[in-house]
Amino acid sequence: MVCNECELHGDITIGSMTVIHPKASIIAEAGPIIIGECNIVEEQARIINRRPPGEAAPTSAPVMMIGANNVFEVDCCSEAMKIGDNNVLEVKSYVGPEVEITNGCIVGAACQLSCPEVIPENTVIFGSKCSRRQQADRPPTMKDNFFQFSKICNRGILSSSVELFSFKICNKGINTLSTEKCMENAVWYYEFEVFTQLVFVVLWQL
Amino acid sequence: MELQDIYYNKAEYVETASGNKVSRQTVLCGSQNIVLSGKVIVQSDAIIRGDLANVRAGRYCIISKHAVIRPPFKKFSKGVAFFPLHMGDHVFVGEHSVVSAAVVGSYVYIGRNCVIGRRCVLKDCCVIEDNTVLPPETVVPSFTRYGGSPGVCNGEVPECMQELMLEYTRNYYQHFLPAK
Amino acid sequence: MSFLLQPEIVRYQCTCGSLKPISRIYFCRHCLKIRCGYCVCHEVSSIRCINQTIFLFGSYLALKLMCGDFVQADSHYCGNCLENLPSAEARLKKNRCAACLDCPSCLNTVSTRSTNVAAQNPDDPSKTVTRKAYYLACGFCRWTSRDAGLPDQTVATGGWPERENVHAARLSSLLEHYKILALRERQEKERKKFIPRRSYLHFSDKFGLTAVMARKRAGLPPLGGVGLKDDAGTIPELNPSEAVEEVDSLPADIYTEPVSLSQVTTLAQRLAQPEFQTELVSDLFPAHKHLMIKRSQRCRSCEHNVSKPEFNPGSIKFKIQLAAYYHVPEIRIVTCEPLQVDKQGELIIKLCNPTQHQTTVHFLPLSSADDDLEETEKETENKIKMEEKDAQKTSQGRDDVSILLPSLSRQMYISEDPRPVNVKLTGEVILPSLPVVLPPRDDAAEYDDSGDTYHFQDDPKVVVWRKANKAAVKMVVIPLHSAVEAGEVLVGFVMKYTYVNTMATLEQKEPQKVDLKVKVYINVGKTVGSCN
Repeated sequence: MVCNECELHGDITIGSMTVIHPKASIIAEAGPIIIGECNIVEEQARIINRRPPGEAAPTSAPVMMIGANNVFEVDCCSEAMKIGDNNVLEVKSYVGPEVEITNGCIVGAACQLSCPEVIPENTVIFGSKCSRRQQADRPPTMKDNFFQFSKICNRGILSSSVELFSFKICNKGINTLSTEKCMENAVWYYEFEVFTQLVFVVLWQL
Repeated sequence: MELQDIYYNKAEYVETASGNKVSRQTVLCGSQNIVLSGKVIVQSDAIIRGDLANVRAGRYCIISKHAVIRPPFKKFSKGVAFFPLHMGDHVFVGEHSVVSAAVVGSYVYIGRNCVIGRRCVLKDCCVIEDNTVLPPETVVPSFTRYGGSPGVCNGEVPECMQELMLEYTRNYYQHFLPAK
Repeated sequence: MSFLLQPEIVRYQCTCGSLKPISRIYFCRHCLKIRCGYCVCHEVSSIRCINQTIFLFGSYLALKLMCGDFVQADSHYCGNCLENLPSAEARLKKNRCAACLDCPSCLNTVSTRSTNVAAQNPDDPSKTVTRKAYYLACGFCRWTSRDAGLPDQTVATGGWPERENVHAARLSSLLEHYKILALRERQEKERKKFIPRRSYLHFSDKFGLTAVMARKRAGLPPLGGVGLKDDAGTIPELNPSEAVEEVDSLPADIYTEPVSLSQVTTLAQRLAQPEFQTELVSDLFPAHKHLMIKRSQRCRSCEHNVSKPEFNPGSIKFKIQLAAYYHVPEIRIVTCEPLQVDKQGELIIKLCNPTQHQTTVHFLPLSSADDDLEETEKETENKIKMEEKDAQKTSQGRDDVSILLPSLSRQMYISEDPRPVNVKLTGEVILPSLPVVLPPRDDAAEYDDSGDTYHFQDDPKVVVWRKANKAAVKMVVIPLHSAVEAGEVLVGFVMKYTYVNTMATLEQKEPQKVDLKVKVYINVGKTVGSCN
């Protein structure tokens, strides 16, 4: 499930049940990005497979691998080439290209990781000094939450695109955005919505 | 220091009858769930997620560029639920700040690059300094000033904060003018 | 961008001599003087305190940490649950909230999480029932009470085991000892000082002051004079600490085992719990949250409140609010021409009248240091005269209650002499010669765009524009050579404004017009280029 107001560039593979919120950007500049299942990419999050600056185009394109059940919160930036499962990149965090994140890690809000390293499993990075600790219990998997979450999002996105026609604020003063674009969006969404609903029905049945 | 005039591109902004000035470059998801009570400024590239839950902003709120207003969610044993986000009057949200609070009171100043965690409660008349990270469920009492990561109380706000904020947001609105 | 986080550009001189922005000063309507945080008396709301420990300047954080034992207050509150605690209870709980806990790892507030735990059914062991179990979790660093090995609770709030300090008994005995010692010392001192004088408490029975007094006395250390001879007589035995010759040697593996920094607590974590100073991360224990206070501020010379908040911690209203922002014309810089040394630059400031009365603002040059000295001398003379008068009054014995009460319930007000302002002006300013009249503030005008109804004959050389109760005034700044060194141009002047005093006193019932002066210092900014 991908919202169309996000920026997608290059060769990107996204697994099923992954939610990409509006204004997120996934940029596969240097090579393909493969995103697993049940990930959530929130607003303004950036996942970038970037060529190191000043380097000639490599012969083989590096592949960015992102596992399952990861959450990329608002305005985070990830350039890590390998991210495992069940990780949370909190709001405004940054993970550099030479960092490898294993499983169950939490990169706290506004924390920056840029030194080349492998973050061990279940590490929590937090605070202004990026202190670390190991957490005992694993974060709950997103799978259970997904259906409800996506349902809410789904409904929201659909309604938002339809509502764009009557861009109402405070029930006073009606303004329209560029109508053509809205129309386009709405139709696109509607088709997508029907499709995803069908998929969900099938999944539920299973 | 008196505020300087801030000019915006007239074509970019939509002004409603109640005096809201909303940029067309914003993402207002689920706009039927977003209530802007009047004289609210939403600047370009701000995101308000009304599709997740209701968002209500009082009079004279200023939402700066690239700010994200996102209703908080809570995980339950059975899935997640989103809660509405209420913002009082005369609230300033700085650039690049992310607000997932449950309640933001009136006369609140949120600086630049702040992270207001999920279900935080910001009482009336408080100040969040630039680059603050408030962990989820933090309560910020009135007349306090929070800063750092994690955000802790590091000072107090003058008693006339209400008047200062009133004056500031009104002034801001008056100086936010279309380019000639 | 922000007026709150900005360096202070326009500063007003307080009566005590310190320079403060207008938002941080108060205006005492009774003595018509400017007061600031340094020259008012800080009190935890409602009830005045005896100890002088309350002369804490600036942040009340320090106050909230340490002065619970001295302050009688009824507005201690917890910053997290916003619950009001009476002072006695707050003291009993060591100024910590009973319900809220801080994460020992990152010092953020922890929240309670619930999980379902499968437990065996007591009736039928073959079946399992799920029941709710609660544990504490920190949303920031993900510390949980399970990390500390605390068992999950069956109730959502409270019930967390408290950790006992190993030295608790020793500490309490020491405390007891010194309390009694201090009491005895004070007794002796009082006895020496006023041998004939007795406590006024015996009056209370006769004159029915008991209830009031009892309320005021509640929770305060007992009076030195009466009724204490009995229990102060015995000082509990105290064995002094002994130095130990032999100290347990360090475990052998400390030299061999590599240190794992993630297992050892940080300095901040240890200092947050000074009574335990846990060594290992796994032994960290949540601590109760510190309480915050609401406090009121009182003018030290006339003893009237300048700021008194409502008790309710959620309320932002004030019972008394005499911030200067509501009484003194505000000055802001609108624009300033680029400043060059020895060249004239135009400075436009905006004046704003916050009061309900029309005011006239004159601009006067700063008086020299000698004039200031003279003025202060005159003031002190006046003060002495006043005090003499007071003394005469009291000696005539008319005002018994006023002598009686202060000694019991009021702290001694220490008024300090104003200090000279120690700033070096790095610019000269040519002030407008004409006064500027500012109309009263009109809140309704905000909603009414029908234009101003005031017509002032302004000199366009002085007033650039005006709008409602605001006016922009032109003046000229000439930076001096010293501005280059100092890096900024600082100019100063005296603002004389008319103030209508609406306070009804015994002598005057009618509002009174007075001319007041305040010294204003403006940091105009940096100089551009050089004049060569």
